Order: sequence, then structure tokens, then C-alpha cells
Amino acid sequence: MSKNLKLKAARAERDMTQKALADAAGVSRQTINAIEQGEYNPTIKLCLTICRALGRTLDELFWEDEENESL
Amino acid sequence: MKVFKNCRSKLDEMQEQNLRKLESWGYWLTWGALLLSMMIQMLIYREDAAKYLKGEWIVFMASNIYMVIGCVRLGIWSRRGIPSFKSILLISLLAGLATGIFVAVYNYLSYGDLFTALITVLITGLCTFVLCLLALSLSLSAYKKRRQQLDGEGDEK
Repeated sequence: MSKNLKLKAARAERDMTQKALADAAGVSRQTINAIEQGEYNPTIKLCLTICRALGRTLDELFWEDEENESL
Repeated sequence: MKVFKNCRSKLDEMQEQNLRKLESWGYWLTWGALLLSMMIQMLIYREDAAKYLKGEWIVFMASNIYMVIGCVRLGIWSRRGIPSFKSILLISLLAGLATGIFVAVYNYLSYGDLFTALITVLITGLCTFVLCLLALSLSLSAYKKRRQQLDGEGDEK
């Protein structure tokens, strides 16, 4: 899986630390870090929670073009 | 209730997934270690083995039955194996061969007679093969029936 730079950028735009986003999404900082590093593939439920916390849509944060998609 | 509130999982989904993976590894490691321990004890205790191994055998079989029933209920055959007669035939052959060899070693160590040991490879191997094939055929048929039932559930439009 490739790194989720869109998530990192959206978090930085809101001036949120990984810990702050983790608290808002109800998960550990380790989990947010793993998602950003592309080491963990979150469930749709967690994706939605993160999107709501950052005020973004699923497409904006988690959509990947076919050529960049690697599972 | 407060007691149950405190009992709720404190893990997030990734931690939960990691813990499940760890538990799965732990289960298979224990399963293998238990099987190995029973085999070694059989070779050590010989005729008295049945007396000492009752507890382990009950735990081992209970865990196997639990897994088989659980997998059939969920409509899962195996992670990599194909649910076909050919594959269960191969598994039964391997199980028969492995058991036959083990019992041959066991008998040779117990009685010191190579010919008897070799005969037991045939007899025990054949019996294990037939029993395995029977058990796997029953599981396969239950799995297919359940799979069909699960695939038919819900409204498909």
C-alpha cells in the first residue's frame, strides 16, 4: 500500500497532530500513523469517521487511481 | 450496566485486528505443540500412553470439532485449499501415510519387529485414509450445503 499523503496534508491544513486526529476519530495515534504510512487499510467506518473529523469526503482522502492502487 | 461498560474493548480496529492475528498464531502454535507433545508422549509411554493422554486428547479433539463446526457454519472451507473431492483425497492420502509411518515407528520401538512395523504402515495407513476421507467427505458436503444456503440469503435484485 502506498502512503496516504492526502490524509497527512488534510490533517496539516487543519493544524491537527496525529494525536488530535486520533482522539477525534476514537482510535490510537499508532493507527492514524499506520494509515498515513500505508501500513494499515482502515475499514469504511473508520474512513468515514476520519473524513468527518477533517471535514473532507471519502474521495478527497481515500480515493486512489487504479495505477497507484496496490494492496 | 457499569460492569459491562468497563468490559467493552479498549482497542481500536487496527489493534483489534493485530490482536486477532496474534491470537490466531497462538492458537495454531498451541495446536501444533499439543499434537507434537502427544506424539512424543506416545513414543515415551507406549502401552500406557492412552492412560496419560486422555486430557490432551479431549482438549485437542474438542478444539478440532469446534473449528470444523465453526468453519462450516460460516461457510468457510480453508484459506488456500480447494473444496473438491480431489483435494480431500490427497489430504486423506497424506494423513494415512503420516499416521502409518508414525505408528510403524511406534510399533518398531515397542516390539522391535521390522516386518510387523511395515505391516502396520499398510493397515493403520489404510484405516486412517478411509476414516479421513469419510470425515472430510461429510465436512465437504456440510460445507457445500451451508455455502449454498448462505449464497441464497438476502435479496439479490
